[in-house]
Amino acid sequence: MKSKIRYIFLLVPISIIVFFAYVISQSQNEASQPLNLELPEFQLQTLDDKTLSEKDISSGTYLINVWASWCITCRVEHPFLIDLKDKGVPIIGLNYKDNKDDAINWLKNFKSPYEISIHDFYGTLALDLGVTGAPETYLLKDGIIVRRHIGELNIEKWRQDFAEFF
Amino acid sequence: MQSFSRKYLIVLFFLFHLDLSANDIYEFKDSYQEQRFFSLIDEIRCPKCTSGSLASSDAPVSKDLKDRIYFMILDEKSDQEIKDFVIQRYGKQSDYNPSFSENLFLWLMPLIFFISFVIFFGLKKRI
Repeated sequence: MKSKIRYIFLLVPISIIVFFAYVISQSQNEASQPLNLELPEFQLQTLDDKTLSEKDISSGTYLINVWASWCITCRVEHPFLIDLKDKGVPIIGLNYKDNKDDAINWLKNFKSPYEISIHDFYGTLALDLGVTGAPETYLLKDGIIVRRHIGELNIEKWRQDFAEFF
Repeated sequence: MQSFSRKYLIVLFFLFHLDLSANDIYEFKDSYQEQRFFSLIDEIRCPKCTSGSLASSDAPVSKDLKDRIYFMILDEKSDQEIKDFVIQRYGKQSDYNPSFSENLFLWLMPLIFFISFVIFFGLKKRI
């Protein structure tokens, strides 16, 4: 009987290790993170020389897509964003640390999926949002950032994390 | 040939000179602020790297974050406010010095492991 009881004490550390291994493997698969971050204050120029602030997009549901003309994965992601646009999903571009002319040419060459594209040359708004690079996609719902996806947005990630909001 | 190598040396001199001055661009009101800055960038993880602090990283996002921390210090923000700013955006894993109370289970894990093994092997000897 005692020999059986002692195995319980071996089982404790093993189950802890298995539990943490599972948690870590799940968190590595999960590139999308739920957030609850108020849209930071900003006032920036768009690529078509309009001024946009957080108040202009504080109501409604939008995707904010971080992109740049120097970003190769953004080119891979682009057809999917066009599909979303055609389905009526409003996407705001956040042009990240990019040369303005290059960005405008990129949109001319490949067609723009964005309703409007903010030119964040210094990456100030991006830093306030917690951007680590491009591409990244944020879900903005009534002035609150509720989702973030790091890397290419594709149909799987869209269905898994974003589709329910539109 | 000699003039070429001299030119080459001059270019090298300026390159290293620029590199040295690049580390010295943050100016603080006092040494306490400077000390806080360097300890914070040592305790906060680079968001773009697999492992490594902001201090050890030259990634563009790390540079931006260091600049933001610098301005927050000048703006009299506390260490906790600065850490909260980073954690809210880049997650709890950004903090290399996590709080004891929030991670009590993790801190106690080695003790749990030790006690479990002591009991396991202790009971084995008695049987």
